[in-house]
Amino acid sequence: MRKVVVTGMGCVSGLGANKTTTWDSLVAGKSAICPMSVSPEGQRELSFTGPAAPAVADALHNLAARYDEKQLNVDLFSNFAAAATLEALEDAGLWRDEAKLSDAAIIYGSASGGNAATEAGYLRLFFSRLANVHPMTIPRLMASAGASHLSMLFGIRGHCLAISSACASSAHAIGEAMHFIRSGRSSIVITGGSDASLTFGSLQGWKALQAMAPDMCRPFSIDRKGMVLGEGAATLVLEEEEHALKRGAHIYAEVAGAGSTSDAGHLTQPNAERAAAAIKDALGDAQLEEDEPVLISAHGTGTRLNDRSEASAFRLAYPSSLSKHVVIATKSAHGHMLGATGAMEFVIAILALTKKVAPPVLGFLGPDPECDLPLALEPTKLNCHAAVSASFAFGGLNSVLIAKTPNSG
Amino acid sequence: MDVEQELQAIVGKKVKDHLESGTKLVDAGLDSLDVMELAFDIEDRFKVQLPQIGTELISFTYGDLCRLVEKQLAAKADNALAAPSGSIP
Repeated sequence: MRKVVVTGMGCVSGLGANKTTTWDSLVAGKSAICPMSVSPEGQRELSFTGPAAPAVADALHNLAARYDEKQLNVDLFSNFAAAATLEALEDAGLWRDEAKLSDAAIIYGSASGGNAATEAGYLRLFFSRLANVHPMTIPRLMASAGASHLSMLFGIRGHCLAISSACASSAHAIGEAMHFIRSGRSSIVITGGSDASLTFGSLQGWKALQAMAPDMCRPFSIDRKGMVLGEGAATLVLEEEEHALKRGAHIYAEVAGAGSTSDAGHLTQPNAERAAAAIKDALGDAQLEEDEPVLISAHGTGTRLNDRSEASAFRLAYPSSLSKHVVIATKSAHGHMLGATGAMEFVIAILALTKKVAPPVLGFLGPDPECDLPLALEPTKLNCHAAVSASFAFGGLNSVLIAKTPNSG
Repeated sequence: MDVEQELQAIVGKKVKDHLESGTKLVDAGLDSLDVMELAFDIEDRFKVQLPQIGTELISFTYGDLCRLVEKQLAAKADNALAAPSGSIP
């Protein structure tokens, strides 16, 4: 079977405009979560007030230095995707390699598409009562706009599609990208995900679900109160191993396995058994024994129900070996980046494997007996060769990815 | 700022060079989507409706565009005079 490796990574979020600053913030225990107030344009009487993790101010700085305003005239979620992908392509030594990118594919995730474009259109129609909307409203808001933007901006001309599976979008995208290369359909796939959902309508929608914390995301902690939204993107360059070796590319990790299941149950209530089945599916695909110590990057939204169910899923998947592993939950630092979060957490898991350090879970107030997991509550030295990254999304869509350090079998 | 100056500012978001009156929008590097966005921005700024659709506007010169906007502004002013708000029926 063709092996799939990671040869480039990039990310933008509230933690930083690239993976170096992201990692430094993570291990320093910094959280991007802060109080925010968001109003629709021209309507100060309406506002969302609460915690969120907005992207850093210079998130698009490198992108804007290389591409002109006209090329970047898209929704923010597409430009987040482009900023993360620019870093990943440069990292992989592929930026402006026209020949290689021409044959490459894109499989990219987004849960929400262009929130800002959608809301700007509705604001004109229903609030300002204007008869027209911006002519680029539809091309900006569609969930595939990010994938198309990457194709156009970087000259990637192979198979290109967007995957939308709520908060597992980018995890599913990476899994599909791995299978795409394994099956021989491409040697390079640009994958990951992006979302820019810190808009008034989106924030109010999440608030209405009563899933939002009033202060901080505290995964698996006693007295946790819910999730906090973040925004940004993360991109990985996946490559067939021989192809990468032949061109002398740096290999961060092998994408060794992916597993996915669905609950066929409820739109918002998770199912621990089906989540555990996705973990086992991924372990089987990666030929990883359950007692081999790994870094587990949990979905860890910080909601009462999700964390309890997820902890139960880990106990089911690792009935006798859970204490051997180290669990991280980085939404406490970068917030819930929705369609970007799976890719962001996979990038962080690979960085952790590379640097042999688990970044700490933040905001922890004390153990919850229902979430008894071996959490890394401070930067923790790692002595393992694989990472399991879990994404359990609304609609009961479960996706689990496994990375192994290069040449670890 | 007069109408022409405001138009230059709007067009300037799409075209870096100062446009001469006889320059066709298509020759200034604008494509059909650019022209639709331009029309949208003009309609928003001047609160007028441009009767031409984007595909027609693209063959306009910059001078044609200025005259069209001035004509629509004049028509708007005439309509306002003909039916002043708050008039007694």
